[in-house]
Amino acid sequence: MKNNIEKVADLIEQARKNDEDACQKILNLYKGRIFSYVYRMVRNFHDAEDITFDTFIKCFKALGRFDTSKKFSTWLFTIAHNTTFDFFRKNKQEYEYLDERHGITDDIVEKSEKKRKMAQIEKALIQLPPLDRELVVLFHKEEYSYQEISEILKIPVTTIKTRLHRARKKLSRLIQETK
Amino acid sequence: MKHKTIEILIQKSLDFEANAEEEKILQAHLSGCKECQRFYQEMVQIQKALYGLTEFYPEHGFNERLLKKLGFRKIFAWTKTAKVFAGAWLASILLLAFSPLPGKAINQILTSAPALMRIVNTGKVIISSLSHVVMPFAKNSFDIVWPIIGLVSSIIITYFFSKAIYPVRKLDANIKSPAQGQDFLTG
Ligand SMILES: [Zn+2]
Repeated sequence: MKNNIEKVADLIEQARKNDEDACQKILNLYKGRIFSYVYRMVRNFHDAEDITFDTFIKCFKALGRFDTSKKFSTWLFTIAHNTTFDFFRKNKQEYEYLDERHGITDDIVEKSEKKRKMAQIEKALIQLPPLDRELVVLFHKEEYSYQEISEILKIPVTTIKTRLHRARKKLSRLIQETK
Repeated sequence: MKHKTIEILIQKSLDFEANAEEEKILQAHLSGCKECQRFYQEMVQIQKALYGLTEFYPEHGFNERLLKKLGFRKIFAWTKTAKVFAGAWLASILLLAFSPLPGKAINQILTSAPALMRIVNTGKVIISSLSHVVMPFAKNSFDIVWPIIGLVSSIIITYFFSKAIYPVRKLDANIKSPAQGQDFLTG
């Protein structure tokens, strides 16, 4: 783990010197995580790709300002979060009725029996409000601590705890309903 | 103890936030309360399901598009390409002019493909007529056709291989939105 952090620090250092290989490696390390997060938020492949694209452009252009004593991925997720919510604000009308849009289950997750459970949880996730969905993804999939999520979303830890608990309860109920 | 309090303890426990004392209280309650036991199991299931969430990826070519937007661009490496060209030229002359093998092999290929033969014959006529122009300036001991064939083949070789062998990329200084780009460029 420590070795990994040191490697990322090296990559950032090289990327700051305009090293293309380092930029490629940073992209390969994080694009899946960022894209998955954004995709679960906006539920549209092309929008998710655009937002992920903008996130990395902002990241690389501001790399000189990044405080290397901090965790890079937390910083990157902060940019992704801001970019996603900017997008929500700009496309307010389109995103007001989230549930009416086609979900992840329709275009990415296969509907084979093997992936039935996966589709079930994705479908349930979609029905959570964006902020709750974001909390669930950051905490459970990305395994960030309450403190780190608080840094990314700029909301107090106590709020995160109560919302996360409520979100998990709701997820459980939604899954029971579809069974 | 109230079920509601236990519910909070369950959530704390699942987030590894409960202390030893709280864990003890929780386990004691769970062993005697079916309702809380069921809720606990549901929460464990949810956590497992969330832990296994898949990773999605953007479309192929995402990196290339992004790096291009950042200003990384391909530039042609002239000095390296010149070395490839010179090597290819020298090698083709030596091979074609001094080794009898390629000539035989080429003849074999040509006789089996009449269409190719016609193209080569036309080429030979052009080259020999060109060589008549150059001949007065060259010594008769060296056939001018070979260097010309060497030249043509090395141009073809260089064209196809140099870009693949030496893709040198350099950051274009003209990044859009210079106010933000400045930090990245100067570090
Ligand atoms: Zn109970």
